[in-house]
Amino acid sequence: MDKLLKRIIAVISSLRLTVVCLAIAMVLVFVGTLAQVDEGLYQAQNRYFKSLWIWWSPGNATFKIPVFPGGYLVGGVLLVNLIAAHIKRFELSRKKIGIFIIHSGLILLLLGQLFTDLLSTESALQFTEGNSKAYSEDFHANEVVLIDQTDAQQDRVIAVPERLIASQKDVTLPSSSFNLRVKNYWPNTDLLKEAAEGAVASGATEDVGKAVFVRSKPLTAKMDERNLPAAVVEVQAGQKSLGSWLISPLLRKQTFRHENKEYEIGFRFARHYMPFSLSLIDAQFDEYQGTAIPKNYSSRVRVENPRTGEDRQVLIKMNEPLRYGGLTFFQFQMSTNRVGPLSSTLQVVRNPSWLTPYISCVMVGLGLMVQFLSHLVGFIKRRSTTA
Amino acid sequence: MDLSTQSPCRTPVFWRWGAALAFGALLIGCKREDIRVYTVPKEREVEMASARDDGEEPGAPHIHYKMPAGWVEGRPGGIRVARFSVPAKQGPEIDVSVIPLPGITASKADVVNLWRDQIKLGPIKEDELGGIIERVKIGSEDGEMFDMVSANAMIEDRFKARILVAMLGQGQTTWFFKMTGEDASVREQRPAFIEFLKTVTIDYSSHAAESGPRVTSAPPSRPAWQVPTNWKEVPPSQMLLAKFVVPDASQPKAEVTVSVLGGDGGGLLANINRWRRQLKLEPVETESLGKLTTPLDVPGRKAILVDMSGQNTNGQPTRIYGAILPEQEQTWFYKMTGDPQIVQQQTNAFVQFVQTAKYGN
Repeated sequence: MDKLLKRIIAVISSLRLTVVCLAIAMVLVFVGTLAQVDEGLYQAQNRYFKSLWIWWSPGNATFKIPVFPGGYLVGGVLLVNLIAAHIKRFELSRKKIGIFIIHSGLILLLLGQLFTDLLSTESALQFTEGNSKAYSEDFHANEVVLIDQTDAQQDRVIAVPERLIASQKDVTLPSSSFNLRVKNYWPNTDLLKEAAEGAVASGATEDVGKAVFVRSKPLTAKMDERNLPAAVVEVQAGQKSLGSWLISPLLRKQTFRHENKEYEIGFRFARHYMPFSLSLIDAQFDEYQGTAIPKNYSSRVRVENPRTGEDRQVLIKMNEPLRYGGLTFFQFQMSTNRVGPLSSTLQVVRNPSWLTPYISCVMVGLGLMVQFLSHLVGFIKRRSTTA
Repeated sequence: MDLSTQSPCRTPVFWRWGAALAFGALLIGCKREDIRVYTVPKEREVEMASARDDGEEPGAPHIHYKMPAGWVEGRPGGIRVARFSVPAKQGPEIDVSVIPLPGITASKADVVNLWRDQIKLGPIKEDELGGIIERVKIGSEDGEMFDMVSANAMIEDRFKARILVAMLGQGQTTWFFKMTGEDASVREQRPAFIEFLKTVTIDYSSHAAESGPRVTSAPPSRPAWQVPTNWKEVPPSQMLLAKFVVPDASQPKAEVTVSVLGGDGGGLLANINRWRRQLKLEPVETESLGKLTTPLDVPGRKAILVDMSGQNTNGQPTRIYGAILPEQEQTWFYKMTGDPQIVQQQTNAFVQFVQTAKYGN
């Protein structure tokens, strides 16, 4: 048993494995970068980098086979290899303190990237001048919501991720007397008012969806588009059906009443709520004189935090984001209409491990310096002794 | 001093802990979103999402129609209440838009010239319209249609562009049905477009009692102005809301006009080029707008100032000093035209006039 363990340790701590991983990583970066042309940034990232394996389907086959290690696998093995190699060969001596710091920095860098991938979220906060928002909307994820609007002050939201709707199984809503039965689901659609080629009647029995036709579209991977899903869901209160609604981000708000309570049902871009609100006071866009090339976009926003009583104004500019409440707000887009109230979009990034690359770089730099200086001092000493 | 020591990391115990940690990290990686239940304060703002509709915004004027075969319904947005795309024989898809504009005070020729400007055709005068107007049925009512084709290739540098616009005035609202696309393809779709117009019914009824109409049909009211003492108000022509002359001892040397157009009034570029034509200046492209305009501070609004000099129809030096103020549903145009010297003297008074205007709701 010990022999086997030793052999495993020898393999995972070998420098040969490091070289193989680095070579695979190079190929992966090359292929993954090229793939962004056809698949788009988001799809390519998920397929090549945020995966254990790259899957491929031969011809029209319905099955998939793994053909190449994905980013998580390569990065994970590299991390384990680095730690194992370090532990195996580690000797805490003054001579090697620099190497120790460099390796620790690299490990922190790899771990930081892993946690960035796992824990960070990116979303968009779009508002026009005069508007206020306490949430941002996800770039990709959608959610089905059932909102109890009875209370005059607040809404009670039950948000179901699209993944559960896509599985087309019954969804039991927690803390609620309702169940959702997914009767149909389309991952990307056009909604039409009249029958057209490729469009089917939604099959909804309630509200606006009764007269709407759904045309399924292939999933899009373009950077400036997003998939607009639709579903027909039957709302059940116990054993009783309250009807079926067509829900989609394309449709307006739909409501129904049950036992003297008013509910809203919808399919919307997944929201990330914040414990504070941002209001857009003024948006500005400057162009280089005589051209339509943007020079600077900026948004003057008001931050209101009822928990801390904070109420202040901040100017968010390109490359000058606002960092607040664990979130970073970057100036992302701006309506370029020269007339009318301007609309500004901020990219909202939550990345709990955003500091790790900075700390890693400092550690690696420090380690290199220590290592270099220790060699230099030794060299000078030897030289003076010889002289 | 040697700090080396036998590391506990080399023992199998350490590797077991390491494996457990790695497994834990994998578990974090496998974390999936689940159903969330939370409460949020009620939204007080007007949501953009409510406009992501199937085209029938509650209470907004809208149309009922029969869609011709082959047309694909698109998502209306902005000032459009309906939008379609039609596959073209060549070039990009044909676009069909339906736009109601309330309170239009511009002349018919001005409106037609906005469309003509889009395909780089020269302006026509009011009395020349008779030769190009076609009578069409829009639902049960009589509308007017204009058929325009560009002189040069404008689409993909290969095809000429054609615009078909049908107009129908209903009370204070003018409805525009506009088909734009490659020349031959639009010509081929022309019969379908005319048939489509016949099936249209315009509906002002509210579909949701709780919401007021988004597009007001009330005529524009005059703002409250502080008119400079040396300006004299004169009766405006049909397309204007107000007109002032700046007299010198003998005759007016500059005039100030105020007009309002629905929506964005056809866009900044089209309007600036319209003014440039009046000064016998060449039209400009969007890239040049920055040179011609400067921002103007107006309380609660964003406005721009336009300053251009050229010649009037008699060949005399003329300067236009204008201000464009957008509102949510309409755009205000203030224009001072006249002798460059008089205009120069009046610029401060003009800016103050624009800045002190108080608008009703």
